[in-house]
Amino acid sequence: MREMKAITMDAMPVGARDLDLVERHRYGDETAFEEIYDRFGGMVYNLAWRLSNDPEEAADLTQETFLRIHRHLGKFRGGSTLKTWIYRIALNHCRSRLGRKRVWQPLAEETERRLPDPRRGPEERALAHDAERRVAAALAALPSRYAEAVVLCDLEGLPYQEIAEVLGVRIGTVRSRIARGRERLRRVLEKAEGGR
Amino acid sequence: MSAHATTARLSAYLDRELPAPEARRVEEHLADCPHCRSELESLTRVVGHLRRLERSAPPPVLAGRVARHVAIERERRGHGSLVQRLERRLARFELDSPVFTTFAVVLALASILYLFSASLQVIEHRRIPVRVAAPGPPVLGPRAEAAGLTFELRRDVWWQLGLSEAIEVDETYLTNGPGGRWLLERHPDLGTLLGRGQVVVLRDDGGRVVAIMSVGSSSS
Repeated sequence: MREMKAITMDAMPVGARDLDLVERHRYGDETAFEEIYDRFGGMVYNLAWRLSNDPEEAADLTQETFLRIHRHLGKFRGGSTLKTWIYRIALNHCRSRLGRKRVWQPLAEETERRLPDPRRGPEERALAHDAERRVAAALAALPSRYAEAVVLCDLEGLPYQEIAEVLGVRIGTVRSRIARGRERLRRVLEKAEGGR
Repeated sequence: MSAHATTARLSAYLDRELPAPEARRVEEHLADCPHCRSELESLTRVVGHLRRLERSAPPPVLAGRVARHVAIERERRGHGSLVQRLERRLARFELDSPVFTTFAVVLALASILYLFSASLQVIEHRRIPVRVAAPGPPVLGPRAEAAGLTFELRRDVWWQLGLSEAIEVDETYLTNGPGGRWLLERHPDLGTLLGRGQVVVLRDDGGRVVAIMSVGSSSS
């Protein structure tokens, strides 16, 4: 079978692609917004899920975030990448909806009730699931400034520079927030595992 | 580094976010400090727990929900506010008033006459012959060569030979957008096709089907 000739476009800058999407949206191309959802829907959903620890809440937050993106997309001018811009909208919305009046609670009592009985036989999958729930709950219970930094670093895999752009803070602040977030999580998890 | 390393420094070291000279100093310190090595191992465990947290695709119904709400908002912003303004203005008149009825009829007739005369002007403009474009790539009947590819003109769209009209387009670029301009700088002969046919569809070397769309008049 004869191979089809193709044109090379890998060198096109990411920013150019972003701005093209926005231009098409401005011209009324509805598929442009669908592409944006396809590219960033998972990213926003997972961010909202880890900050809320509630999949239904995360779905609502994602829907509302994309409505905001739709309203303001015409104002995007390429000062940052579209990804950074969308992260900012998502985080601002999560902050305002989730209400950052939580008091830091190590969840010690609830965690102790869930610890598996060591006299039982090994149940690795159940243990792993329990561990994941503890970590997820502890993460969502962190003060928002720490939770956001930890989620962006350890779950979204962003480098410190990009996290600084998303959060609108200096790199030193990012470093400090990530460290303090991890430190608090460590205390919670070590206490749940029996105070190692 | 005689004192213990701070958690922030160890955390940044773990993420490979320290400048090289600072990272080397941390490594030298770790070699002689069991306390800091233990701290680093503990941080590594926490990060390991976090990175094992599941990532999930959004629920499939969410795309539909977003699309529906966006469509509602588009409708509301496009027509709702105008309707509300008209409703408020009409409410000031007594709708069964003969004066209002006469005014409405006159306004409707005037609008129809205006639109009719405007459409006549459009038809007149369309009778003006289009200037012949500068010579471009050789046109082989309904086919043309550009960017090293062969295209076929079907219903005002230049399709790369071998692509079916039923195929789904993965990405679209406007000629006046950054992506479109980038493409045309590298393949100017594509621009000549766009002057004639408005849309070019081709496959890139990543396997994606890409459309390039001309925006505005061909004389611009």
